[in-house]
Amino acid sequence: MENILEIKNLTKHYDGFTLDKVSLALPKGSIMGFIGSNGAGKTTTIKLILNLIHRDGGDIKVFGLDNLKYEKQIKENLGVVFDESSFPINMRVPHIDKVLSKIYKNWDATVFSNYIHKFNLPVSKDIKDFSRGMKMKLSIAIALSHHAKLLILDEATSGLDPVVRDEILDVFLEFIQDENNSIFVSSHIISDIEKVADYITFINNGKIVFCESKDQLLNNYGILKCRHAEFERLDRTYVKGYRKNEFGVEALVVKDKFRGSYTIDRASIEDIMLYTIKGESR
Amino acid sequence: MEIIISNSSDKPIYEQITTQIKNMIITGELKPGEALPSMRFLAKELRISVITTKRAYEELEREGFIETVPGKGSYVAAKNTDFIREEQLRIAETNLQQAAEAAKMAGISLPELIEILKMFYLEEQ
Amino acid sequence: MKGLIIKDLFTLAKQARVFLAVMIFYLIYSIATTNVTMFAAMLTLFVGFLPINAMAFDEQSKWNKYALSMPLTRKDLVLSKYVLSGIAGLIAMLINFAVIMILIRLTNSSTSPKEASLYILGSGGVLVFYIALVLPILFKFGVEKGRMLMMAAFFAPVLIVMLLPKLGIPKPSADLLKFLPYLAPPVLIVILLISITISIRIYQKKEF
Repeated sequence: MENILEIKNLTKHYDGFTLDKVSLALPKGSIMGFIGSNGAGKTTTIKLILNLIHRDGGDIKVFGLDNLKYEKQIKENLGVVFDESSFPINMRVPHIDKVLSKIYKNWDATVFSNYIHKFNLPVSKDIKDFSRGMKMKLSIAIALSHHAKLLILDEATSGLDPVVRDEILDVFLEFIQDENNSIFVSSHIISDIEKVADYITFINNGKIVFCESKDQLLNNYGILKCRHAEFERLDRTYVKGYRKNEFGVEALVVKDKFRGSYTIDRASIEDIMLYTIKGESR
Repeated sequence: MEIIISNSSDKPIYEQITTQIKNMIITGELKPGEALPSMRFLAKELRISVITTKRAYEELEREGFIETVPGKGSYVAAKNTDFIREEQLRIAETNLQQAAEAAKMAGISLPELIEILKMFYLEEQ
Repeated sequence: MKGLIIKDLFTLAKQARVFLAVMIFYLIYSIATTNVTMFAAMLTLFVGFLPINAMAFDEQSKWNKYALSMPLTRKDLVLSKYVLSGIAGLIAMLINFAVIMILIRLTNSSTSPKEASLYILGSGGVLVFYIALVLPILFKFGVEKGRMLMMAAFFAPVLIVMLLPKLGIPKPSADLLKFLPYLAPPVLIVILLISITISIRIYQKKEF
């Protein structure tokens, strides 16, 4: 199948927040970064994919299958990592191994053991004595030990130091070497995703702002710097957002439309996100 | 084979890759028939997106520098390196012509122009 | 579901060890005083609290949200608690029975095995009724919020029995009590099934 994850017009109403007709598609074999500020709807979307909460409208297909009808089957091949570790504090790694071998059909104790080793996780300590980084690595080890084809990560790296984040990134890159594997990672720490993501989906206030290939985004947009007067003369259809300061204006623009005499810097994904949000608030 | 990319360069990353690989093929560092790293492996090692490496390889294939066999990988094309050299010569001649005309228009002398050419030529090394 | 029960067993293992020590104390106490009721009561209490403690652990670690990202249905999560209680209850009853039999031998008591088993089955029945009442409450409100309601459920039967004469309803006659062993099982099964159905429905609606 072409898209390993397909969401169409997903809607969910809460008091004071609505996830509004969210649509996105993740092609097989790629990494998609799902970015947005806190409260933008990232976790809500992921919870809806996993059926942790009930949707008010829309369709979700994972591995080409409807996520409600084939829930159990889908979850056999899904590796999920949340931002908190959810194992009862009394348990230890060997217990977890045992429990999961009875839950997942394709549980691979050897692979799990290798990751435990690789991550240096203690085998005879209770979970309650694990540090946050250790708990996260444990969750990731679990997600990778049942031959999952799609990894879903919800803020899995927030609160971890850069060294640990880098280790984890390596593991994910290794995972994606198999072109049948895909990763859907949501985070508000964009630097992690920025380099290796193939696609970026940006959600703001419950709506999808864009869902595009990262290369395209970086090639299309740039930060234009100019004087206030010059700014007023710009064709605003190609200005996505701007920031005025005492001494000039910085604007996120479609690069090609402003070639020539202007100073245009590279825009990072984070820039694109910030300026787009700012732009919308005007 | 070594590839160095810069995130702060104006040149898109895929272009940096194609340029470096082309160079290696032309100078013979990469021999015809030699296997290139897989797109995914290259992406992982360089910490960039697979789409970027894919684009680089597709462009190299389009220009006849490499051949991709589905399921197997990408290999340096058993192409006539003379032909490639001629291609590059043609590009260089066009650019030099443009440079000469621009220089004449700006009143830049030939020795000055040669100095500038020297600087660029040696910088690439 | 097997995995869930194993998880609960691992989680409760630490507590079980402490409990074991307490039970051995009560066992000796019971034999010394030839009164088995303390032992049986403690054992039954422990079984009664088992699913509650298991659910408390789940709640504390937010396990249920994580579990639902695995190939486990909400039905699995609900049923596993009933099954856990069932297994524990059965084992408790067997232990109680064995202990009573030993005591009867030791003290040459006049209690017959039949009387003993009736007593145990009776307490088993109360346990089933209690589980059927308490689990839906816990599934709906969670352990923290459900504590109050649970206490009420605990004392409700006692209160009802005390209030009966006040309401003018006569105490059940000895004749009626004779029928209890035969009436009770089917009634309990029905109550249990209703409880399971309600719990599953509650959990299906829940948002994590």
